[in-house]
Amino acid sequence: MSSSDEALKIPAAKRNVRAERLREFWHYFSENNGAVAGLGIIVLLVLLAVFADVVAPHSPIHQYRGHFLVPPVWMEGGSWDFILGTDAVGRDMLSRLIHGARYSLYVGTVVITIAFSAGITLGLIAGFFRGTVETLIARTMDIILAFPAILLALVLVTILGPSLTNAMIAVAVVVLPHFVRLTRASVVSESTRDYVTSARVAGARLPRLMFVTVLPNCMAPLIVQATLSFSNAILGRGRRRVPGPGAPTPPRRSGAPCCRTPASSSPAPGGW
Amino acid sequence: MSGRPTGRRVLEARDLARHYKVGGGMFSGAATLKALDGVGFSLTAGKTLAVVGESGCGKSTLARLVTLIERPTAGNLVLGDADVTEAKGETQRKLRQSVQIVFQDPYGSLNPRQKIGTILEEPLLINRKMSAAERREAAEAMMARVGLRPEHYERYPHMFSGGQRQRIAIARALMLNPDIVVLDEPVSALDVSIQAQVLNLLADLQEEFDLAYLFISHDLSVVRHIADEVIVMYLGRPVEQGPRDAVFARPRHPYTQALLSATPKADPTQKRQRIKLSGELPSPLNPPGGCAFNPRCPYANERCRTERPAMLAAEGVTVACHAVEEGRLPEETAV
Repeated sequence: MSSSDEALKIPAAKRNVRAERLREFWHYFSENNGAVAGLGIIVLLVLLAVFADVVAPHSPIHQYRGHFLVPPVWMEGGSWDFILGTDAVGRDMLSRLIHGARYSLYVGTVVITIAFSAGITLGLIAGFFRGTVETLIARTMDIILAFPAILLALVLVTILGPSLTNAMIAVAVVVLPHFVRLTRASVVSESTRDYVTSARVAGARLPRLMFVTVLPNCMAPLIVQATLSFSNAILGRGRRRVPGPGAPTPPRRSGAPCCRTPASSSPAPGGW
Repeated sequence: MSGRPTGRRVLEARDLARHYKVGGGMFSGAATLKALDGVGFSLTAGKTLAVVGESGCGKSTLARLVTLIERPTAGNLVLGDADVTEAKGETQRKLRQSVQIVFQDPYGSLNPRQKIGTILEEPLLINRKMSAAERREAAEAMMARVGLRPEHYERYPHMFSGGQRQRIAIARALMLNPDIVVLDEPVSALDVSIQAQVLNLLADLQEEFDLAYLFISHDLSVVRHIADEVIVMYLGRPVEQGPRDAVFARPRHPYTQALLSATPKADPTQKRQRIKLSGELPSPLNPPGGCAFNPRCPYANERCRTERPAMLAAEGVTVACHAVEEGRLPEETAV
């Protein structure tokens, strides 16, 4: 009887711990007004992307034959039907941006997830196994850094073939060295500290030392790098549409409108 | 704790040595740095062995060897009745639990991202099969024992003062119920008033848990207070070794004499002669021939420059000095 009681109690206790952690996180997070405002914007963007079908006033691919290159509503000749105007083939810009947010967030999330996890793993390995392994990883990353980002991504996409997945892999490879270098540098300086030695004396094995003891102390610069790379990945992914390779289908990513052909980009000021 | 007989030998070190290969750049060959060379001692439950010497004499290397962070290049280290120099894998992990360490810098020795509770429970989480509730209970009991309040369990290290952090570090070292605690200058980073508190706590814990301490320090007044036995080291080698009272009452080795005379005393009426050492600690990469202390020793002669002195018994202590052996030191060097 008592044992079944305890079995019931444990999950409840665990749930409590999780709720407690969440409350504590929110307590510290909400003290920073900037962070709360940022969270608000992100949540809004995510909601827009999720409910794009409901929110967007038009279909992103429907061409209104009578409304080519309509200017935005605040300019002469604009109308509330097309708040941000239409593009050269009569598609509503606002709807395309809203639908494009799905791609942008998807691309950013996937690219950063790949680059972040691969980067910290490689960085941790380089920082913990000094010597040949470290040299190999660090120099490879330096070589990747030596190429111009766009050129390298184009080469990779050309080799792998044009698809959204391959384009994301290419961008991930381009941003990877930053994560590896940051992680490795932090790991090297952190792992000489006494708390790492005392974890070792307490009997911690290598994976625990890497991920539980050292990694949390290296996270601050990595999180900043991840946020910066997120937007870069979106923009970079858009730029990569210029010469052809990349996702072969429409809805644009919000980073993409800069890449229309020069002829059409001047009269329609919807993108940048 | 109560079932263990007091006075049993918990660790025996014989001729411990640790050499490092350094350099080996493009145009130079690698050199050998003898951080530790031929140190032998034993630790007894409930007793404190103090290791003193200036920085660079191999004190911290000794601490790293005893805590099995590093392996000795030569010599034997016997823990209880198992030779750790041979042990590998699981056996070594088992043995490692019986030696724990407290570091000098209480600001660097606690993981800033872990709460005090997590820090204290980590050794149990890794080495013992205990439920979360049992671990928490054990951690809270140990916190109470070292003078921390229960609400500290949920706090992070940066919320504590140096003295409190050192209490946390001591509590963590004791979580696995070790036989031996290596104290690597545990109070030298603390205020003098806090030093006394921490030293008293250490003394109480030693009595309660029958711990053997390896106390590493350069502060002789602290050593005089806490040690049962003393090793004086110079450039990786012991120069004098013996019971505290014998070493402090009548230091034999010229280096020990100089060290002791450099300790400030709070008694202006007591006249004393300060022995000033000239010169620097020589580089351990290129130690002087013969006795390592000879360039700074006022009594050095030709034999000291060519022949390395062995540790020889001299009235209760052992001393490595030709001058002591030959009896050519001035008889009364009152310190």
